[in-house]
Amino acid sequence: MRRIPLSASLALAIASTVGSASATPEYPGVIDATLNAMCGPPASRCLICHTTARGGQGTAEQPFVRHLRTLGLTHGHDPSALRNALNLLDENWDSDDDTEPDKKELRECGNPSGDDLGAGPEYGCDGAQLVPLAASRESRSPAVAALAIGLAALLVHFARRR
Amino acid sequence: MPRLPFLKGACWLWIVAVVSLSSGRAHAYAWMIKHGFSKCGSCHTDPSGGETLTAFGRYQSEHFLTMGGADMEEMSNSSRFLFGAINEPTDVNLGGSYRHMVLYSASVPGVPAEWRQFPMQLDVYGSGRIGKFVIGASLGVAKGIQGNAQVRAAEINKEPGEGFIVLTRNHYVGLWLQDNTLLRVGRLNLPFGVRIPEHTLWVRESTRTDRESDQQHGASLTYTGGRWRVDSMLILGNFQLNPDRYRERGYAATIEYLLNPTLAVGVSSLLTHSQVDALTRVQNSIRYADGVLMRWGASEKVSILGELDLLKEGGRRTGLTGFVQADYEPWQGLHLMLTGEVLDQGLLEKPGVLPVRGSGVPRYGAWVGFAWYPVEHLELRVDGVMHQDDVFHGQAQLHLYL
Repeated sequence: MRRIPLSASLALAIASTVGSASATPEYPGVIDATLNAMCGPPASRCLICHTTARGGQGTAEQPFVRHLRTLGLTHGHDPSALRNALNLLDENWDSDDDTEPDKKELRECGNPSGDDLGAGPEYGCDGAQLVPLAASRESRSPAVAALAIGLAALLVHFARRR
Repeated sequence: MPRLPFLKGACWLWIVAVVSLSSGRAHAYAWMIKHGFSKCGSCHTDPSGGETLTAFGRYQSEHFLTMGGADMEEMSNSSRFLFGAINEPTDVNLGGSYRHMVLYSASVPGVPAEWRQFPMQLDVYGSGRIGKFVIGASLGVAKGIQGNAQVRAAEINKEPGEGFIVLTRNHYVGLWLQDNTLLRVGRLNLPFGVRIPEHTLWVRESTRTDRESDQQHGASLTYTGGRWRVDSMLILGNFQLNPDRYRERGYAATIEYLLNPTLAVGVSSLLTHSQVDALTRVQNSIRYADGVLMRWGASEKVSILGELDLLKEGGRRTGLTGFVQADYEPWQGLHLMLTGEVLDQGLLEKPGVLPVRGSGVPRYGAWVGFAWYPVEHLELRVDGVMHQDDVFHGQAQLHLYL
């Protein structure tokens, strides 16, 4: 077999964008949009409806989603059904009996199915950043500038000697 | 089957088209037992299989895996690492994988069918040996996985998952105590069950033992002598997950015995404890799974894989999961796979919760798949996945490995 141009294969692979292998996490966004909240899509929010942060069919067993089923949310991947169910949800309904209504908890990025979820686990190794933090970049900039000026001065010095 | 030169050209053109218009790892193929390869370490640097291939593994991959490979008398240069562009030093094995997935979800009343496609994996990996010492690692990238609890478990950098992240699924140092006994320390695949590439199969998902990102840090001891393969691991936790209260500690182990050259049976066991379960948030969580497994090469064309596990997760009663997969290879390089699976995670221990399929009572699923290995370094696979209480899902996958 003839050799395949390696550079072509690699270039194509690298040029492509490597993305998620997960289910589309559209539901947190639908909840935010419907209830005017800004809580984002951290994996921990899956636990509002699912018993595991991995989500998935068959794990939607939390008290809040059990109530939403009675309001028409009977399957996954259906943003319009979720939107409708949230609109039908009574303002005072409290799935976890913690005296806080579900809608209020959702607007405050809380958990209507039980204890607040918090930030959850963090991923990655301590101190490992692809992009330096803004603060550390600022603190480094005088040193970087001084180094650059010094290098430039050296270059000019050697250029003149020639 | 005839080996057609133009077929290779067409395949490569197809790859270029797919990759250009859109945006792996070499896997453990447990069904290779039908060719008498019962010991994974013959072809992989990991004695329990997966990822980096040995030089012998590359040769066997071309000879037994690739369409038309049986006609080859010696390994072609193009089957080597990087298509033969680089000759690896002796005792160094390198590899890499690019996987692209196209997913189809059938419609339900009120919800149209959905197509999605995404690059699933872009990893490089390798291992080296210096005397009795070994070292191995993988490095990959992913993007846009914020909110995903799966891939991020292997993340190295601390940035949120909206942008690019860097992954390492495995990294270890090891020492060959004897020719058949390897001690390793690092982030390792958990030795549990049949090491299969289908990481979303219920047995791998529910026991959290897939090779996608379920690896953990710890120390493992692997023995492959005579008819036995014993792989045990002391789990110290995933140190790419913070803070410490989310890390699981415990053990995982598989013992497999070869009844004859093409039939292996075994048992697996796993037990972990964490202060808080990272996925379910159950406090003081004890999780265990115990099961049996089988790999059988029924003939040169047919192999059967199977596994059945009892499950217990914090906050749930005892459940079970299992699968049986029949692989029929009518022509070398073309596989028809039928898989049946079952899952009962166990009933939630909460008042008022009634059993539903998958939680308290079994839920069943089936996969029908075709895998095609037309040329070296390439796998094309199509699967139809049918689960009770779910719509039909179609999966098409391109796997290009270095």
